[in-house]
Amino acid sequence: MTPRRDKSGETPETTEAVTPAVETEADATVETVPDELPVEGVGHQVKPGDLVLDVDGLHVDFYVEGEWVPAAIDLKYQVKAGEVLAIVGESGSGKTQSSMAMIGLLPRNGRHYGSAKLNGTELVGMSQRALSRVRGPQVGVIFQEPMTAMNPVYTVGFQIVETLRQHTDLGPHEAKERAIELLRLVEIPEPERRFESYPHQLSGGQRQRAMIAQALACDPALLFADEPTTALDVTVQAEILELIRDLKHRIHAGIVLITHDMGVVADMADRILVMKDGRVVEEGASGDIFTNPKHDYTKALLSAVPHLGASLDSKNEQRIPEDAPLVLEAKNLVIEYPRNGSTPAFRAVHGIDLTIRKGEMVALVGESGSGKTTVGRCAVGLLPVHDGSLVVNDTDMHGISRHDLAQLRKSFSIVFQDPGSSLNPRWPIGQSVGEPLVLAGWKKDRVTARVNELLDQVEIPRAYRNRYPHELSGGQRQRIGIARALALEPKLLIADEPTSALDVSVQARVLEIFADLQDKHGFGCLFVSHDLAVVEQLSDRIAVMRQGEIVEQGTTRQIISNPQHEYTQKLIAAVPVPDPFEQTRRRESAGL
Amino acid sequence: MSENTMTENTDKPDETEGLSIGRIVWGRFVRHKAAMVSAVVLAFTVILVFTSIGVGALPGWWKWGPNDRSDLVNPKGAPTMGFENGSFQIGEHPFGQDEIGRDIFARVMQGAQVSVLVMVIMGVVATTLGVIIGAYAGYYRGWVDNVLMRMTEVVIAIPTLVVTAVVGRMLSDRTVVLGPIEITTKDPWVFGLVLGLLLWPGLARLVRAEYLSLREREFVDAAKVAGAEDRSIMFRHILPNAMGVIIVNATLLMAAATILEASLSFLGFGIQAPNVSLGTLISQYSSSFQVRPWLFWWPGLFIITFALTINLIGDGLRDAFDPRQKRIPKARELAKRAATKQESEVGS
Repeated sequence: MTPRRDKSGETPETTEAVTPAVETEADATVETVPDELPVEGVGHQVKPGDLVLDVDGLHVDFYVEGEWVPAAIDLKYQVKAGEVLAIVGESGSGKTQSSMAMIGLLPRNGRHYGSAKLNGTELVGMSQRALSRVRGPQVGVIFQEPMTAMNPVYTVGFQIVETLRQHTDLGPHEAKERAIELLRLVEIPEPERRFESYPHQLSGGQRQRAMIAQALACDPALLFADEPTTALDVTVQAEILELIRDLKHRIHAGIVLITHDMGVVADMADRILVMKDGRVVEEGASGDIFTNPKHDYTKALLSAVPHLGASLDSKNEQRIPEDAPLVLEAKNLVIEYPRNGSTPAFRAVHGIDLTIRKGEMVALVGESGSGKTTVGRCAVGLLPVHDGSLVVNDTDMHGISRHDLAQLRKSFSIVFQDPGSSLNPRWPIGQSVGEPLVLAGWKKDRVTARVNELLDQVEIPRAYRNRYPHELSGGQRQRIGIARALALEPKLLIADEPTSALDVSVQARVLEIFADLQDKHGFGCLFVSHDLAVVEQLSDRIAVMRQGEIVEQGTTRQIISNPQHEYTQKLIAAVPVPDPFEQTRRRESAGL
Repeated sequence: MSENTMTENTDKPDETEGLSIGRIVWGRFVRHKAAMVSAVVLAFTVILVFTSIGVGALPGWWKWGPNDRSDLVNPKGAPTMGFENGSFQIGEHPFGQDEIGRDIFARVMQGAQVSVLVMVIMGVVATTLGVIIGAYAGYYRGWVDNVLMRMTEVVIAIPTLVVTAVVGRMLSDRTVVLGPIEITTKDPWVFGLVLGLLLWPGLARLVRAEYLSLREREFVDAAKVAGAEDRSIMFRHILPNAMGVIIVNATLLMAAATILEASLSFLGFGIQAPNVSLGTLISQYSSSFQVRPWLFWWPGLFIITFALTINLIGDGLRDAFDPRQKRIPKARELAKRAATKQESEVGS
């Protein structure tokens, strides 16, 4: 009844190649994984190799403060069915907006012109009404943050059914069946039960899977994946990438993968488009770009991705003398989130031991929910110690009085994860940086001088001090966060995922500045992160945390080159490597 | 501590000098055209209102008092202001006279004085109470929140009309002596105070909601780690972020107060004779709308002026406090721009 069924017979290689991957990853929870979309969709039926998207001379502009600022200039590319095209570039390079422009999702102050043909139909200049019939059945979108892209007051199932019934004439029961099959297709365990779940009841990875199921609901010919794994943990990221790679062969859609991370692209993309400042600077087959990048910018992007194990040789294990004084010592530390109304108390950290010596950089690594951030927040007194002891700068934080804590606060500091939220949006940045000094009772002219000095240290022009946080880029904002944390020369600095909200290329710069400052000021540092490759560049020792417990602890060299615990090994295997051949080898050796 | 950042550094053009939030906000406010025009209009109106007939014992420059009677100049007491023999005339009674010969200009000036006083006192009292109670409830949550919010609900449940009626009756014409101060309960500012004490709960709830969400932001944690005390976090760190909500509601409240005062006065519970307010003027003359429309024009014009200018100034303040506020061009402007752009490209 549909050409789709016949096609699986025509392309047996792809189906076979995929099957083993499905079986191993699906575990026991998913009984059957359909090789094909179970019910034929309403989308445009395409064969692998068909030209799906033909973009020619597409421009996108934004109206900012009285003039048109180009976001994408003269884009030209093609996507074929069954192919993954990766568009790579930093935030602000126009990669997302150019894709959104085609499907009519530009903000009000944006405009676009040029040509973008989907299966031969011109999308540019199409009315919103007509576009709403394109979005869904013909083009699916996977957004970056499934928590905000899904409506929190409707169940996952409802949202998929809604998409289906909007564009097809399926009845409620058929739509539900199809939705469950879609959930099974994206390998969500117990799809019948998950159908009734609300987005917040799913884990991050499952939410992203549900998002993918919704995008695939009407069997689109083209799929935009806008940073689909940026908001996820490394191990989950690996699973989602695996899923997309696997779906590529089963859905026959052309996939446009939008990302800033060369590591993610490495074994996903067939072709790569590198964008900078709205222009395509390089285009080519995946292997060529990685082995033989031509443009300087591509080379810079590639080198910005931290290579796991690359900086091990330069590590000096004797950097910190054995007898250096301790700035943080946790003994059997237990942290609980207190009972709140009907929510019972939650024990986030179950008795851990951890020490940091003066001038030492200790990394705390784990996935979200492992309690690593909780430890960091406890160390700066934002959460109380429930049991055990936590000695910071020679003062025990267990049951500390308000007054003592206020005194102690001058000797430690924290850099938060998201500089967009940790800087007061209504305060000029100079005032944010100077706030700890003002609170410590410094005179105004000394504060001014010190703020200038701090801005110099993090390489932000002094003239920026009267600007608001939203006028700076993400990397600049995080540098401001670091400057504020260093204002009072702390002995202990907690860095809570300071670069996870940043682009990879920006991250490299921020890490460099951070390492320099640490070297210069010699503060002890607890570096909380989920990214082992980042941690390896900076830290002297690594502690791996899972579910509130430290599973493994040792010097950076020990952990990276010879991990003992199974969980550490899994974490290390999940770190993407910006090299398609190496990545394939690793995936195969890991048994995926 | 905020004091020394607010003042000083006036004569240094150095870019690296830190500017306080107050100065930056003021700089943005000054550039807001509608708000600046409104501020000038409001200032001019207030000066006119207070100098013309004088305040208290101070005499003004206008020849008539609000209760002076004179013979009708024009038939029915129509305004003398207008064009006569091709030249603009102000005449004896520019706003006209009422049926017993009182000068409407003087009466409107006095009414406006009273209305401004009620509005300002009510606005200040309600906003201060609302912000403080909302901030404490939202920031501390728990039992503080419970106590404050239950209190708020009690106040909301009290019907404003009934309370003002009862209080008005109870206090009418009584003089309370507090040491050196003698308070006549009929004074308009007592009325403003009563309104203020009744109208803060709406704002308190909104401020509480803002604080509940803002207190979870990381910049609050950052301030805590820097060693800021609770009060400093509430009023220095969080308050600027809640300013939009507060200003919009405070201005709406003040505009609404003018109208509420008018309706209460109409029912006889508000401003009592011989005092007049803009509201009492309108209600007093309500029966002669057909015959002497000018009796309404002028009080109405002043009510509109106050309500409008205050709202526009509020808009300007809100925009000035919000650094992200940007003007998005209208679709037509965009189209025009797009056309010129494409033309120039074709041309080249």
